[in-house]
Amino acid sequence: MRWAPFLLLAWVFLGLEIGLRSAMPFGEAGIAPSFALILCVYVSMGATHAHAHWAALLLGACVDLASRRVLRGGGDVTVLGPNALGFLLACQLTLVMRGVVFRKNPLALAFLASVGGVVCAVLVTSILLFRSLYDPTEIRAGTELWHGVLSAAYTGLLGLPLGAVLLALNPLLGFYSGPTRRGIGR
Amino acid sequence: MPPYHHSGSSKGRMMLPLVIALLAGLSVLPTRWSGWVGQLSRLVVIPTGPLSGYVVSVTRSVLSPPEPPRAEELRLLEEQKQAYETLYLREREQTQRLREYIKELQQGLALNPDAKVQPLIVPVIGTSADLASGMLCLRKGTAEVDHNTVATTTGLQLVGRVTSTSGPACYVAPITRKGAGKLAAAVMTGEGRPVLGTILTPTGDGRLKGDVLRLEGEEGPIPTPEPGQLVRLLDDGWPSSSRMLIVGRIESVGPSPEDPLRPVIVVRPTLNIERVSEVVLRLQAAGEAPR
Repeated sequence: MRWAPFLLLAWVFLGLEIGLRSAMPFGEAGIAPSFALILCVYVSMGATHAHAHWAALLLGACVDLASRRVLRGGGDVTVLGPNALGFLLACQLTLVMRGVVFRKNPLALAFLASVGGVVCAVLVTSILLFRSLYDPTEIRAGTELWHGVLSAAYTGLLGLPLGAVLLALNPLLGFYSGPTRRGIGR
Repeated sequence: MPPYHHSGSSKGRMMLPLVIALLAGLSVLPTRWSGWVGQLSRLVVIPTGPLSGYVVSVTRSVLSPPEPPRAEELRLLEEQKQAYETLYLREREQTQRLREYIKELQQGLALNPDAKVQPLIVPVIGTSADLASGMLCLRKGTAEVDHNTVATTTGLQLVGRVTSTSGPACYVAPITRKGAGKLAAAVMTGEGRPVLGTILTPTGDGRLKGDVLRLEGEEGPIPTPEPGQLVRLLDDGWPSSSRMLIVGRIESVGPSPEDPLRPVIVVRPTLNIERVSEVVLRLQAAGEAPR
């Protein structure tokens, strides 16, 4: 994978993640697609395992650093880790499943982004719920998980058009864009 | 980053588990030891800020509902009326407090000087990636913004308080978000000084709700709150300069579930404060002590 085009794409997708998410329909209710996760899944579908892992950690850490968690009794805190690990899990899931899907189809990216979004939401909620046992981090686990699942479905929906655009960028990132065969991209 | 099967693959194999372990440790690190992590957010906010700020300004200008057509002069007059009304009410409320201070002084208690404010208009460059918190990310630049600085719209509608700063950005928790906490406010039932008060709690859907109570020291008949009446901030926990700022308008009035004789009001801000594209930070002037 070529890192320079990836970093440029990451900049654009993180800008959209921070600036556009809340403005999307249902964004005010806390349900919005994750642009960064779509990029993570896209990279995981085409890059080598090592590159995919590092890219997922980088994207997830950036999402963590752009997030603020409300504390009981006022104030906020930045928790570095939950999304980074969640994105890594979504990446690993994609790496396992990419062999059984047609990688050049945006539908595959949309499906994997949805499934990845669900596992990411489960992990993030679990970590935050665990933290709330000894920390004043405000969390409503049920709501957070439900919103996470709906956001994952939303991410999948957005993954369709974005996937079509991203898959056209395969040569730019150095991903194999010819017919798939065993061993390519590993 | 080299793939595992290239030279240096052992280093790559070693690094990844180490980074994962580090992130796992950081994700469960208690808040009292992880305050420094917030400062790292500038690594993301600085490079993405210009792009996300542009996205916010474009989307919010496209998505905000069109204002009904009206004369520019009328709009300016209405804004001026709001500003002078707020000023008048604040001054009157301040006079009342000064009277109380004099009483306290006569009893030998200390007097807190009132704070003066310096308004600073800043753009909203995004929201927290964690949408549940609903926090607004503002580009404050090099301005020194203290914790608890009050944020309003240009029309004196209260938005929230600054909860943290990181490099050129700061975060504001809107008053309508559940984590924002309770808010004491006065219900403006008539032209005179407020008789009714309320403790508003965010409902999580962009509104606030609270039981209506008679303000301390007020006597006479209790007026009934009605939809459309203004609700203004009257909270000792907020800086004194923010008193009488607009919290919103009464949307509905109903009986309290605990006490049917006591009215409960639902208040909605005069505009959607979670979708503003710029806010006014009311900075405390140097040398003035916040309350």
